[in-house]
Amino acid sequence: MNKQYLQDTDNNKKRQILFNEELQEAVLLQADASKSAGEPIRTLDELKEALQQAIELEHTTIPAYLSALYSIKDGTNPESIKNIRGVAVEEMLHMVLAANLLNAIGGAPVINKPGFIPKYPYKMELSDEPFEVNLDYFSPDSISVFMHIEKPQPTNKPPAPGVYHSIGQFYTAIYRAMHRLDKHTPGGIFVGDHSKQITSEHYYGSGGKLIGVYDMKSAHIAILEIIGQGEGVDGSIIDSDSVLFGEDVELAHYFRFSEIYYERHYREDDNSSQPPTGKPLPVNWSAVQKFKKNMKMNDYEQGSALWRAALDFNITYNQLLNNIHIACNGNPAHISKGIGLMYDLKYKAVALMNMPMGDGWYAAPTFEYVPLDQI
Amino acid sequence: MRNTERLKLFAKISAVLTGFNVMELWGTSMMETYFYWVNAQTKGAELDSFYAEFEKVFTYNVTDEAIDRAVADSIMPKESFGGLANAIITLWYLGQWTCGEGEKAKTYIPTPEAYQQGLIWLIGQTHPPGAKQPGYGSWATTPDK
Repeated sequence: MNKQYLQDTDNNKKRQILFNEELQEAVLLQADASKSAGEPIRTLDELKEALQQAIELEHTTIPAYLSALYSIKDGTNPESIKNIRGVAVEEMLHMVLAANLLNAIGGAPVINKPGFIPKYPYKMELSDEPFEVNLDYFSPDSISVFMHIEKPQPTNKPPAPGVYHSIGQFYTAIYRAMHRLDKHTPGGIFVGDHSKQITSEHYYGSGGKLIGVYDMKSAHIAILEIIGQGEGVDGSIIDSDSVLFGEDVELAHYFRFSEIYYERHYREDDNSSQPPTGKPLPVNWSAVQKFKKNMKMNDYEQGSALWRAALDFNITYNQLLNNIHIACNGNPAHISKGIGLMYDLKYKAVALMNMPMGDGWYAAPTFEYVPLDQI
Repeated sequence: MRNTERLKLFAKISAVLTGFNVMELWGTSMMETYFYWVNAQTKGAELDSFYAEFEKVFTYNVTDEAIDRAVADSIMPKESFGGLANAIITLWYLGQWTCGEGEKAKTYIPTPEAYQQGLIWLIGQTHPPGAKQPGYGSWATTPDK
């Protein structure tokens, strides 16, 4: 067993971190520090572009996870709610960490532009076999897509500029480019204003750690934090027998969804390539407000009460993104002002999901861009 | 009248009485709870005539203003339908149901959600203390309007 897949946390718990030192070494050794030929990210500008893309990638899953989370009827499925919410909160953390990485090298994250929110169904291209991410209600189908997101398939195809075959490959390219460019740029690449970093002092209560990025060492920790819980991890690691479970272990994202899917907890000697075998995790799949997949503002009659409620939700969502944008561009303390918006977002989503559209269907938030200055 | 049709009528009546639109009221998730609660708490004949009076109002009045006026004249007075319209307004706004008068008055809270979903919190742009938390520090933010 490989204990490197576990990490101690501040509160005497352990969390799975599916990226061990051996792997890090391999990634670094492969990278010939002096050569950029054949590397998908060659210049500092390309690295900045890739990190902006990383912020957008981390955000992509959030509307999908929130749609499923909020569709669960109040007072039901407490354990499923805990697992989905935990993952969604960590994705938000990852988004901010990616912004920290970009700020650290003197970039400027853009989180409030049109097009930042992807159009759903979103085709996940960072995969040999692209698949669709949807805004959908809580169901075995939607949870199985979430498992797919958090367990990317290994790939043999090499990356090329702008073309990656897995999320792991994408982050590996970023990692290597950072390392190489930092070494070969006089004065290094970590020239960003330290005061732009969002750290746990500005926002706590999220899973994982909000790490300030000031040099290669902290960049390294931040990247591991982003990829260690899921997405960036090659599926073969999840399928290895080295992953440890236990009551005091905080599970990686794939396993948290897997628990819901199989309606069972993992127990200590479970094998990671097999479904969990621990005590039952009761799931009531019918205690949901059903809505049609990937609803858009256009699906509601313009000016109707439903349309206004959907618009109202989108305004709040765009305000929240705008808030994070401001926080990531020189006002880190601003992030705590978003907490109220996050609660508001939930209440507005839940209200929509209680508005009947006939034939047993309900309305749903559409997560679309709204130009706030024109409202 | 079948229950589903009555539920639709109840939604329409609730919108007139509260000033919120039907979808906003559905959004609280309390519509069916309150519909069945009012059914159970009100004498059958009184309830039937209450619904019949509203149907009349909706049939003979087209504009919102005309509907409001008709409701104020024929339904809102306390002696009409045992104060049912007032009780329904209180139910939506406070999540409470009061019956009886003076010392004999009794107040019920139909479900714990009724407290959380009271319209009073929406109107006040605030939150039910102890539930639906608005987030740390949100008290420092001024309301929108």
